[in-house]
Parts: sequence; C-alpha cells; structure tokens
Amino acid sequence: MAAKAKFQLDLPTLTQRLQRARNEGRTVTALELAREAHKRFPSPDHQSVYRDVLMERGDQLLREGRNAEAAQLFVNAMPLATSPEFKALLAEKLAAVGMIAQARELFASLPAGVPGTAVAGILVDAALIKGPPGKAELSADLHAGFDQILQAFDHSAKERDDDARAALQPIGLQSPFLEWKVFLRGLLAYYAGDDAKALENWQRLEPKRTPWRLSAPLRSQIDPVFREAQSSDTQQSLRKAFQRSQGNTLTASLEEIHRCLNDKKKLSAGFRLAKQVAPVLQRDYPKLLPRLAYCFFWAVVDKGVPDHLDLFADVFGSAPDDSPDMHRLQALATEMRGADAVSHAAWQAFEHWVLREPQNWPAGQTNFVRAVIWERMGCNAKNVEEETDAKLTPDAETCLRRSIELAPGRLQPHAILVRELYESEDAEKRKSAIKAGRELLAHFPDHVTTLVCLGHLYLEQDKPELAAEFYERALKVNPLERRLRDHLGRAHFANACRLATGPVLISARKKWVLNPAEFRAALEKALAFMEGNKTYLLCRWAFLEKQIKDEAGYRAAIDRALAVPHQRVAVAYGLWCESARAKLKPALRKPYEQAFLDALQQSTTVEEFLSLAETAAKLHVPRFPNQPALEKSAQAALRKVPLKTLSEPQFETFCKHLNALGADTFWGQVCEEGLRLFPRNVGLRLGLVEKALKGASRKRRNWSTIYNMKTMLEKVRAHWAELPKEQQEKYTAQIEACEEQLRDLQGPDIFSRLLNFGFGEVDEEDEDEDEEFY
Amino acid sequence: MTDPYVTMGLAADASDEAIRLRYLELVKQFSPERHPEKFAKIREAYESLKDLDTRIKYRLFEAGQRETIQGILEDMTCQTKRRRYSLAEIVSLSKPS
Repeated sequence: MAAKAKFQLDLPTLTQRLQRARNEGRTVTALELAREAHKRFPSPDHQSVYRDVLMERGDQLLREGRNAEAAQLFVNAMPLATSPEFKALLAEKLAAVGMIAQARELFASLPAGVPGTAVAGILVDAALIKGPPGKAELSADLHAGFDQILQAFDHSAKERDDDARAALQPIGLQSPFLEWKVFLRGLLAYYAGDDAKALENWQRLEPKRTPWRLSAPLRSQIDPVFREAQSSDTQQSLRKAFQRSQGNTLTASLEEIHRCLNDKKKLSAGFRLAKQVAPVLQRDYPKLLPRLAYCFFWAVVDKGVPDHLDLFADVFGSAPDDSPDMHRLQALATEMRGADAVSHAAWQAFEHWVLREPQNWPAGQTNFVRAVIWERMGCNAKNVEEETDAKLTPDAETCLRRSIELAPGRLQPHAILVRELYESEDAEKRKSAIKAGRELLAHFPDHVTTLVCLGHLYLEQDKPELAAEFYERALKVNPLERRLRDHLGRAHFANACRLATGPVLISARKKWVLNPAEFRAALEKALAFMEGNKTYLLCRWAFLEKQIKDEAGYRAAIDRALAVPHQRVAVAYGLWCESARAKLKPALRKPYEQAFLDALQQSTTVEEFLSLAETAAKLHVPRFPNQPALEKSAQAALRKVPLKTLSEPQFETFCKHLNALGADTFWGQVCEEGLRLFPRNVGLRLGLVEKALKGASRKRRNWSTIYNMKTMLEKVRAHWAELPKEQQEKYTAQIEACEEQLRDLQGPDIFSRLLNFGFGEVDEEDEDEDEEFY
Repeated sequence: MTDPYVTMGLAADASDEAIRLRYLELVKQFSPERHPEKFAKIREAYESLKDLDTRIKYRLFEAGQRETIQGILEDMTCQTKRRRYSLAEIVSLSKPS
C-alpha cells in the first residue's frame, strides 16, 4: 500500500496525463486516469470529466463493433447519471446497444421538459430490431405502434402493398415509430420501381436512427449522390450487402476479375475466372457479356502478351468487330508498344478481312471503313518516318493516297497527305504537294491550312501571283488572321519584284513597261497588307524604280520611308543593302555605305537603333550579295545602343530583332543585361532559353546544358504564372514551343528520364511491356 | 454506361440526321446550365457519333475503351429484379458481413 501511495500522482500531473491520453485517443488510459481523479479528488468537475471519458470509451467500443463491452460500460455508468442531460444521453446509448430495460429505467426518471423523443425513438429501434420478442421490452403504450410496423413489414414482404400502407396509416407525426413509417413507405416505392418516391422518403430519415442505416444498402443502389458521398470502403460494403441479399454469386467473381485486370501479372488469372463467369453472365445478363469482353480487349491492348490473344479467343470467341485472327486487337496492342512494323502488318491483315467480309459493316460502308484503316496506317507510318527516319511498307504517302482513293470525300487523309508532302525535304515531293492540295481544295474549297500551304509553295516556285490568289482565298475565309495579311503582302511584294527583276525578266519587263501601274499597284498592295516596319520594302521599291531609271519614283519611295518617324538610319542601311542586292559596282555602292556611316555619326536615338535592328532583321532573308559584311556593320552599330536607357518593352523588341537577325551572341548578351534590370521579365528569360535551344543538338547533347535549360524554363513558367491573363497569352505559344523542343532534345533515353523533366511521369512499366509484347 | 449509342438512346444504325435531331432533343432536355454532367456525357457521345467518319473511328479504335467492371456490376444490379425483404432480412442486410 505504501508503495502504491508512493507512486500516486499529484492532481496536476494526473490532469495533464489525462488530457494527453484523451487528445491522443488512448481511451483505456484516459478512463483509468479519469476514474482515479474522480475517486481521489471527488468534485463535480471530475465527475463530469469521468462521464465524458466513459462516453468516449463507449463510442470507441461501438465503432469497433464491441457492443457487449460497450453495453457493460454504459450500464456501469448509470450511477453517475445524476443530471437530466446525462440521463437522456446515457438512455440513448443504452437503447442503441439493446439494453432496453435500463434505457427505459433512465428514460422514466427524466423530469418533464427534458427532450426525450430521441430516446423513445432509439428504444423503439432497439425493440424492433429484435423482432416480435422486442415488444415485451417496450412500455404498453408503444405496443400498438410496434405491431403496426411488424404488420406493415409482413404485408410488404408478401407483396400486399395496400395492406402495408393501411397498417402504417394510424402512425402519427409525433409517434416514435414515424421514422419506421417513412422508411417503409420508401421501401414500398422502391419495390414498385418508383425510385424518386423512395428517395424522397429515405432522404427524410434521421441519420442517428436505425431506419436510416437499414435504408443505406438499398439507397446506395438508386442514389448515386448518396453512394459517392460514402468512403470507398463503405461503398463496397454497401454493394456487397446488397448483392448478398440478392443471392448473386457473380459479384465476387467480377470483383476478382476487376483486380486481375488492374494487375498485368494477373491478367491470365483474370481470363481463367472469366471463363467460369462467361456462361453464367450469358445466361442471366446476356447484354453484359460483350461489355466484359471489351474490358478484357482493352486490358490486352494495355498490358497483354501474345498468349492472351488465345486466351481471349478461348473465353469470348473472336474479339468484337475483329477478324477471326483478331488482327485489330493485335494492331492496337502492338501500336501501343511501338512495334510499328508488326502493327502495320496487322492493320493490313485486318483491312483485307474487311474487304473479304463486307457483311460485317453497314451496306456501302466497306470502302469507308477501309479508308479509315489506311489513314490510321498512314499516320503511323508518318510518325515512324518523322521519329526514326525508317520507313514502313507501304509508306505513309502510299497509305494516305490509298485512303483518299477509297473515300475521296474525307478531309483527314487529304490534309495529312498535303502536310506530309509539304514538310518533306524532297523537292519533288514538295512539288507534288501542290497537286495534293488542289485535290483537297476540290472537296473542301475553304480549307485555310491548305490554301496557305499552296500559297507558300507557289511563292517558293516564284509564282507570286498564284500565291497571292491562294492567300486571298484564305483571308476571305479567315479575315481577322493578321499573319494571312502579312503573307498576302509578301506575295504582292514578290510579284512586284518579279515584274521588274524576276526570272521571267524579259516578258515581265515588257509587261511592266507597257503597264507601270501594275508594278506599283502590286507594291501598294504589299504595303497595305504587310505587318510592322515597312522601311525595307520602301527601300526595295526605291531601287526597283532606280533600276528602271525613274529618279522621281526613286526619290518618292525614299521620302515615303523617311516620312515615318525614327527611320533615318534604317533607310540608309536599307538603301545600302539594296545597292548590294542590285549588284552595283563598288564605286557606285560606296555613297550608300557612306550615307549609312554618316547617319550613324549624327546623334542616334534609341528608337532609331530599334528601327535599324528591325530593318536589318527583315532584310536578313532572302540572301543578297555581300550580306555578311553589311550585317556585321549593322551589328557593330547596334552594339552602340545604350542598353541601360532601354525600357522593358524596348529590351524585348530589341532581342526579338537580334534573334531574327541571327546575331546570337549579342542577342544573349542583351537578354542577360535586360534580365539584370528586369529580372521578372518572361520574354527576356525565354529569349535565353530559345538561344540555348538554337545552339543545342540532339546528336551531341550536353546534359548539363539541357538541365540548365530545363531550370530556366521552369523559372519562365513561374514568372509567366504571375502575369495577368492578357499578358500570359503573348508568351504561351512560345513557351510551349520551347518545352516541345526541349522534350525532343531530351529524347527517350534513360539519362533524360533520370533528369525527370517534369513533362509527365516516367512509366517504368511501359519499358517492361515493350520487352514482353513481341 | 459508356456506349454513346446508349447514352443518346439511339439504334446502332441511326443516320446522321437522326443522330443530330436526337442530340438537339437531348440538349433541350438536359441544358448545360441545369444538367452540366449529363450534358457533358451527351456532348461526348454526340462527338463520337456525329458523322460516319467519327462513328467508324469510334467503332474501330475506341469502342469499349471505357468499359469497366464497376460499370458492369452497377448495371447488373439495375437489371436484377428487386426482391422483397422481411424485417429480419432487412436488418441482416445492414450488418457487416
């Protein structure tokens, strides 16, 4: 005893430990400590704490399904029930664990005015759960209601719904049996298939009461909102309870199949189970069997091995909409794993089957189906050609042409073929893109992408009049597209140049000589449509006029260029370049060079430097004689720009022009200087990434550079996210292009995966699958 | 249910016009403002069926791709005849297995 006394805790320590145990949910310890505090330091506060801890422990036992222990605990707590509130609470708990007599005893001792309906309801619930024997545990005044509920259940089970309703009729709004009445009315509606009415009743049930709990398995079947509000474990147990009540043996098997389909190592086991389930499903739910087949079909596509094709055939016969040899399934599965040659062959075999067995498709659609398959093959072959430089047989062009031949009215294969030919580096193929494009336009005259492609191709072939015709058609369809206006302007400009100096020199000049207005009209159109600074264009115009010896025209064009503010230096540079393009003798070129140097000698403003940069950038392509020397002079001039005086937008503009001019080193320096002054500027940082990407090559990639680029791009994204939405749009396409380029540069090998570039999780399983399937 | 024909309540051989009319009818019934989820499903189904090209592509490359065992189980439950319960059965239904 002495030893025990020695280890007795003082009150503050006891209270502290009790609090900690309660906070940590250690209810057994908490209960012991609360009991000790209540015994050794009796006070109303300690008694109250002891009662609370008792209830907490009881609730925990109930949650763990240990009802008998909870019941004992609540009975032991009865001597503590001195306050009416605690009496009511304890009576509820006792009723909930089936201790109806004790609950009634407490309930009876409640003074008038204390809300006891909940207790009465719970008493009724506990009695009804016991069935007819429960009646004896209720007071006599509740016997009538008890009988009415049992009768209603009896009638409803025997499909005598009207009698059931009649039995429920006497139960009033104040009755503790009201919840049961509402539950039964919902149940009757559920049996009758009136789910809305069933839900209307069940939604009114009180969650603390038993009828709510009894309705849950049925309600979860017809109320998706209720079902999804439960945890996944609860959802599963509700469904299981329901299936159990239906006596359905299929559920467990299907759930096991579900687990197998999610685990590629268990797919074969899934097929074995499906073999047992399929006949039962076919007998009882024939419409569900094809759906089960589809589940396996896509599981094989995603994670199957060749052996699974036989297993599939064994369980389901052939795959849905597939040849007897399941070529479609093979093609999709091998496509998924990048086994392109095997997939190509499987699609061909499937296409042959479609041709041989046209009855499987609606009348007259066979060729359409074949065209779609050839298009798919064409796309696959195109991807292979783009990614690996290898060629599938037949190649992309052949597949797409075959698709067009079979169904000429389909847009997709036409468009893909035009794009394929247009993007080819083979000059002959690019020429044939014109024919393919015209064929497309015969069916889809307003297809803007093709109209623009044809415009570009005709411009390449030095047929600017035709190019302008296609750009104009595109602009008619899409009049708000600014880039189209610019393309059209360039076509008119090229046309004007051709009229004066192009390859069809003699005839064009003659034409021009006869009709000078045509030449000038083309230039006016070019000026009207082309975007941005037009100094370079007016300089070219001036020189064209000079070449045909029209001094007045020459001066007029220069004056027109100079009329725009800040163009003094740019005009001088433009004319010097044009003198080189016109291949004037050095002596004749000299004054133009001198004029440029003189212009630079005068105090040059930032705006003038920026105009010079823009003009030099626009003159960068196409090439002209002596261009490197001239551009070197321009760059030397541009290095004199007082960078510290540039505003943030001026920095961005300057960098953009330097990029277009190909002055990469200087461009990088300006970006860095700009970032020192404006560290959160997205455009400048993006410029640094673009510059780094420009110099990077996949064949000789440097992982540390790639890592740096990735880090910079992450910063760009972070700063971009801080911008207002309207400003974000300005950079979105540029950022995405950089990300795409970086992804491409990074390639699919393991080193890039190790760097984890954040463009999607590495799926290590894919690697395994590649090895497993073919 | 993931089959677009079932979502739209159409026969497998429905024509372009029939599909379009059914779509308009469903959109009136399930407007995007009042039934956003249902509307999204209808829209998705219509996108798969709106013309012969998309229908054939759906049948060749996508049909059944979204079938799940869970969906089959749910439909099985719906198709199962509702049996009636006694009080004792209802009580046992709500007890943990």
